[in-house]
Amino acid sequence: MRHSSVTFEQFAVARLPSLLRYAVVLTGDRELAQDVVQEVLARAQVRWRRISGADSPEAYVRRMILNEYLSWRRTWAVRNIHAVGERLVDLGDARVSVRDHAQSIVEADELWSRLASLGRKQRAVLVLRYYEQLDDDAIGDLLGCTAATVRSQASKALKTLRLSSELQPRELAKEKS
Amino acid sequence: MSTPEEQLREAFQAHESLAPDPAAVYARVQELSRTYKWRRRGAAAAGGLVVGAGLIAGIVTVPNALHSAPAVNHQPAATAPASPSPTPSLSAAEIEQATQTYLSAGYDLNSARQLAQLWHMSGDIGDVKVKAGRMLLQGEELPVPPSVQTGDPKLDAFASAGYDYDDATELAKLWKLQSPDDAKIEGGKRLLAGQTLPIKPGSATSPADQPPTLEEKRVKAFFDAGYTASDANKLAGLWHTPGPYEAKVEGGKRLLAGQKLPIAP
Repeated sequence: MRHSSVTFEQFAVARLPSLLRYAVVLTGDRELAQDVVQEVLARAQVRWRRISGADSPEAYVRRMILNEYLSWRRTWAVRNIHAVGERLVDLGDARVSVRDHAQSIVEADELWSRLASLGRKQRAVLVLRYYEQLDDDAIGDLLGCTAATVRSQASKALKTLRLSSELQPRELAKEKS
Repeated sequence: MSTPEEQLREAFQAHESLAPDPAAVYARVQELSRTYKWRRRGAAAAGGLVVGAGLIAGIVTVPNALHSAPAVNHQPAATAPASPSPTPSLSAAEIEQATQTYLSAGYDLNSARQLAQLWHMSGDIGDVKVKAGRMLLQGEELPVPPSVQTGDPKLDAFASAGYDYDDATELAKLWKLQSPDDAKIEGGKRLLAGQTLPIKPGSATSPADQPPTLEEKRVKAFFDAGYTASDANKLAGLWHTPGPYEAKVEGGKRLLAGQKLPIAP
């Protein structure tokens, strides 16, 4: 096994902000993102010798975050309530004066809220596809399913988000391929 | 009008900014990882059950439940720097070194309890040992002598005979007692009654020195064969195991038995 000379501390200093951004997008919840990343990094630190020997320690840890999110046992009903000030609309009201920008923020916030209605796996598929920009084979590898299942999950998620009408041709084309 | 793909990307990227403060998270990570280490040792000591770190970590899914274990030397979130310093708190190796220094100098659990009283530390007794160990490493003297007499004749008899914490851990296993402390009391009682204990003083090995468990060997075999976490996920799906960790254990078991796994590494 190849061992990197990067210490856990060096890794955390360099990559923690990025991991937290990923976790927030993945979970849709600041508190849950913090819990998930803390949990994962604490485990990673204990096993750092092994993880640092992986081809990409960051990819390994990101996968741990994904798995932790998918297996998180906490009650979600409580988590899915937005705290005041957390919504971009709230932030935008205070910050944004340009109408178009404000409108864009409102739309992004509305979509963000609708994303909270998705199941964990469907949300993960969208995050991996559109935020992490992974192809469906790679997503299937991460989630332990086939690319066809990924496309199916994505299609269902987009329908739930009422984004399916525009994306339907692409999804159908992929499902047929 | 942006495309739905662009809308999703925009929604994700716009909300990245909700990410929590890295410094606060890093401080908590240090706390948690130290707790895992102690839990691992505690599990080994209390039940004679040495399990892999993955399993220990796997059952700790509610960090709030761990808040009772205070940090050794981490900076509070409110005063933490914007980005974590390379050494803002103790690493696992430093904690281990401090603890071993403390134990090697002849101090034990009872010493730690006395120090906790003197230092007004009411949390994890492990924190006291680490703090004391770091003082010893820096050449400072502790305010109590090693192997201090406890005032309890049973505990004193146990310590005076040369038995240490690891011996108590081993005896707790043999006698099926809940903790090493109980074993010290039982051992002292037997010694005072003129009996001989089933192990010699200082003969028990520390849990950290013990060879890997069968489960750990199986997981190692799995990775040594070239399999990855991704493979474990696939195998977990094939074998319907509760999670990828169990798939690694099962895969390693089969590999050690000379069997082939259903997928190539």
